[in-house]
Amino acid sequence: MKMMKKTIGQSYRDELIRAVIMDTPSENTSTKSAVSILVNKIGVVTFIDEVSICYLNENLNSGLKTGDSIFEIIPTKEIVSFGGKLNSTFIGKTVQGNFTSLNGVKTYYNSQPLFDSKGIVKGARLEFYLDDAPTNINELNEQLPTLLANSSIGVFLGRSNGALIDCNKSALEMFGYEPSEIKLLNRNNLFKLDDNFKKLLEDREIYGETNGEVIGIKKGGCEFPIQIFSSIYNTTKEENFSSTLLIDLSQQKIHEHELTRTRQIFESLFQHHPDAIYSMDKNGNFINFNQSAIKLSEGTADRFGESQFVDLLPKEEHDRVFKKFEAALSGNVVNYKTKILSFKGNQRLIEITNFPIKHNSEISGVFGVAKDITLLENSKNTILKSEQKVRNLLEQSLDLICTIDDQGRLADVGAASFSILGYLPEEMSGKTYEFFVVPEDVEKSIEACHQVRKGVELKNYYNSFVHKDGRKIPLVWSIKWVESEGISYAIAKDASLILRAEEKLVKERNMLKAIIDNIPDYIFVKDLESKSILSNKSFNEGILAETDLSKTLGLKPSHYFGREIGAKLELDNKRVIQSGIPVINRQEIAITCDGKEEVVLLTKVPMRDQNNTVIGLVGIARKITEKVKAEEDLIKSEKRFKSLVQEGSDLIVIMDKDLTFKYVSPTASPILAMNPEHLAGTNALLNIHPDDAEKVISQIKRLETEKRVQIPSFRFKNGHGEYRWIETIVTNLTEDPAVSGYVANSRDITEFVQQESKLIQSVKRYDTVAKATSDLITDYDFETDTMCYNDAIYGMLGYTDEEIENSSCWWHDKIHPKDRKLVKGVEHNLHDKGFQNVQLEYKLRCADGSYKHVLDRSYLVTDDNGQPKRIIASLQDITERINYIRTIEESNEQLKQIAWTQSHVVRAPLAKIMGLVDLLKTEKDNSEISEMILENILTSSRDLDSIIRTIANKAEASKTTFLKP
Amino acid sequence: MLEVLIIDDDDIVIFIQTKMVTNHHLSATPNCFKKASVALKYLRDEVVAENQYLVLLDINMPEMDGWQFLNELEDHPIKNNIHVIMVTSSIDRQDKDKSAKYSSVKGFIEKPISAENCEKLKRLPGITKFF
Repeated sequence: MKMMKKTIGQSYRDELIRAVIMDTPSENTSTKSAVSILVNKIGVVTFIDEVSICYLNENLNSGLKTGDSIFEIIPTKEIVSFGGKLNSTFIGKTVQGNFTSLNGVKTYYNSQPLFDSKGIVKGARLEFYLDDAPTNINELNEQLPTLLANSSIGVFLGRSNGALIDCNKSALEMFGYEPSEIKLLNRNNLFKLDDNFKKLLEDREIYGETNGEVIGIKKGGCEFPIQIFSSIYNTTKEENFSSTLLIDLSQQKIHEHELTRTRQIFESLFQHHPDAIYSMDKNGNFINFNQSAIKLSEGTADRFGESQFVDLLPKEEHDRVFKKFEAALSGNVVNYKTKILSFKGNQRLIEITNFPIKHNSEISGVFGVAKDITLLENSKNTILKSEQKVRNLLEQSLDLICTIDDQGRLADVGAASFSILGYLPEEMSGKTYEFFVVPEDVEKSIEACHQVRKGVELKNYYNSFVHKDGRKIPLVWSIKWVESEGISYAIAKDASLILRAEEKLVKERNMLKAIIDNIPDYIFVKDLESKSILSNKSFNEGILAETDLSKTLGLKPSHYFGREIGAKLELDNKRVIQSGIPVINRQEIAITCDGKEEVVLLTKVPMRDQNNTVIGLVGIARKITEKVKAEEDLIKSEKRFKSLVQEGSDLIVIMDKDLTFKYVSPTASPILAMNPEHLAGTNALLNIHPDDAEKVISQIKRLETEKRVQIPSFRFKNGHGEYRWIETIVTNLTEDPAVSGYVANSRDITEFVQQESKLIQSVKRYDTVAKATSDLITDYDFETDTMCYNDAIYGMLGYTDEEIENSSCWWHDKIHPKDRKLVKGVEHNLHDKGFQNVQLEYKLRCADGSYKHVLDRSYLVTDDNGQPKRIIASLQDITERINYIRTIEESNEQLKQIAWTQSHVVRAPLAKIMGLVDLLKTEKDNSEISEMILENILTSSRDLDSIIRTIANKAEASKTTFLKP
Repeated sequence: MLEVLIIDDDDIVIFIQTKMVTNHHLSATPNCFKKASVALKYLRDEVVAENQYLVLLDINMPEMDGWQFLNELEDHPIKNNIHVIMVTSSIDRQDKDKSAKYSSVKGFIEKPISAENCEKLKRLPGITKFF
């Protein structure tokens, strides 16, 4: 096909023909092919095929591609002309023009408007030709039938009612029908009669032509997108025909879809590229930029778009960066690092690559790719530091650090090799460890290295090396094989120190255990489940009643205390473990194994491992029963003391040396009827009786040398103005910081003084009575076994002072021997049987050897405890009374005899007389008997008379005795 | 039969009592003893177990008084047949109380013995069958 210059007007028909021409396979493959480019309304290339790219590259030396401005290939002097043509196209005109390219090639162009589905111009299709002008349209018309028949574009010829008259080969292939089949069809069978299609038909009716995308229906019903250009022809027969060009858009749609997707991917890559990507004009204004660029600037898209690169540079970087920018504008690719300041003022370190933006060799700006290397730089620094640390570690470590390769050779030996083994690092490097291992450890060391290479990490592995001086040095190793490096990292400590430390540790542990076991406090350690890990002897023996420590391990409290108490204790432990809050000195009652209650101060502290994780608790219970008791006793004592001071009967005051009251106890109120608060601050001498003041002062002075002074009773004026007798003991506590004064304990002894006075009178009276009485008063003291007597002893018994002794022996000797037993018995009753007083009579020997009867009234005196102390006795001389009684008794005896005589002797003759008289009455007639009776009466009467005379005599004698005892 | 024994050291008393015993038919022939010991001997030697004996005994007698007589009588073989009546001039209550302690003593008469006393003696258990 020959290249043609298009001259047909602006109807869609031109479009159709051009499409047919372009799509029809060329018979003549001329190198001067036309170039077809689609541009949008601002001149940016929206589509250019590969052939056109190559063509332009080869002929115009242009690298124009999609996205570039079409003006890139237009020489500057032709831009105005070309722009004018393009603008004409945008208002719907097809225009032609030409220019000479930058490389001197004469180029023709044809610019046609591109319409969207609504008939609005959306851009332009530009065709470029070289040298030759397009063939005249008339030539084209002649060739048209052939072109149509062979075109890859389908062509339908039909009637206006939709009936199909004919079609070309491409149309048949497009719909999949045979020629015979398709002629029986109309448009209803071949197109989807949707609203869009109907609209096109309406447009064709109105405007005579239409174009747009519709949906075709293949034989078999498969739908596909199709571009149609259809027009109505008026024939001579006045019948309307239509011609429709059909372009299968299936492949184009797929291509467009892929293009869109590719574009989206690139767009996304651009937008989401981790590095900031941007373009700048020659002044450094940002034109395009991605999200990373915005992010790096810590600003918004708008702010970034309005900014220049210089806005982000710190001043100190300006000169250097401007030079780089200028180098890029000069066509170089530059790579450099710089600091930038974000809009928020944060400094970042970035690595920038700048390269020029070229349009037809003309540089319009600079592209930039900026990588944030702040972290990288920091990392580098960190790595450097780490390397330094490793070097330091090797040099400074007290442990022997080295690496061992798979052959067992040592490398990277740390400086400690010298201090531990006497070798310099370089002396050890390169040698196998077997060289240094003591012979007896070689075999096990080789085995250990095998294990290490298998991936076993050795820790606390012991062997011994030979020191350079020949000594055997025990070492403890930690070795780890790193497969990726093919070496083992090894650290060895001088185990002799560790062994010594362990030995020390064992000693310390034993010592600690001894201490813990001997601490009287209960100590226990529990794990998270309250199982015993450790407990001391006190706890085991005192609380658990278990002497074997090993038996308590792993047991919970419930094992010893039962389920209920055990659960309570476990809950308490759990609370401490879960909260991590210790319990400090909580007072509790612990029950010991023998059932006693023990007051303890309980402390439970969470036990943590090196990661600060709670792994149990440590408990200490301090026994404070004694302390609590002591405190209680102290409180009681204090209370007692307080009671003594405040509620006791004594008045307690604290005074200065000049006797000014500093403190007065509340008892001042009942004792002195004075308000203690009012009394405080006053001077004691104010209320002391003037007659007693001097005595008191002189006693107080004694406190300068004596600790305590008892002041004789003195008078003190009370609140009612009465003087009361006061007895006081003053103690000097000026040296005691708690008191700093004289403490005086006083009490009102007025009653006592009065009683004493009465007593004195009473004693005086007693003395008077004792002296006045004729009774002998004795006072026997059990304790001293002495007897005292009053003066009556002289008169009653006739002893002189010289003869009288105060011993009880002397006294008992004076008791009549027959009465001594009686007297002893009475004393026994008084002393041992609790008799308070007794009365007895006995005889006492007088100085002249005669005995006197005494009535002894003894009274027992006991001490406060009821123990016998003395016997006070009053002895009354009853000798006269006794004699008198004896006389009476004798008289009575005489009277008794008289009575007996009266009864027996007197009555005998009387009874006889009476009987004889009675008998006479019955025997009066018998003279003999009567005479006998009378004789007997006479005899009896004489007897009676005789007896009465005897009685009279005796009575007379008795009377005389009675009167003269 | 009933035999009456009068024991008294006083002849007048024996006279009076014999008269009263006979006059009042206690016994036609009472046995009179001036000494208690003789009377005791009689009772020991002469008694007949079938007989009942009424003894009128004085207390105050020389040699053996009434109490001694009673004491000796305590172990007499037919003690139950001997009914002693104490006849005394004493009005001392003590004598009466003392005589009550002897089982053989069945009565206490203050001298002089009267007709009434004699009648009462007849009603003494053990001898009343004889009257």
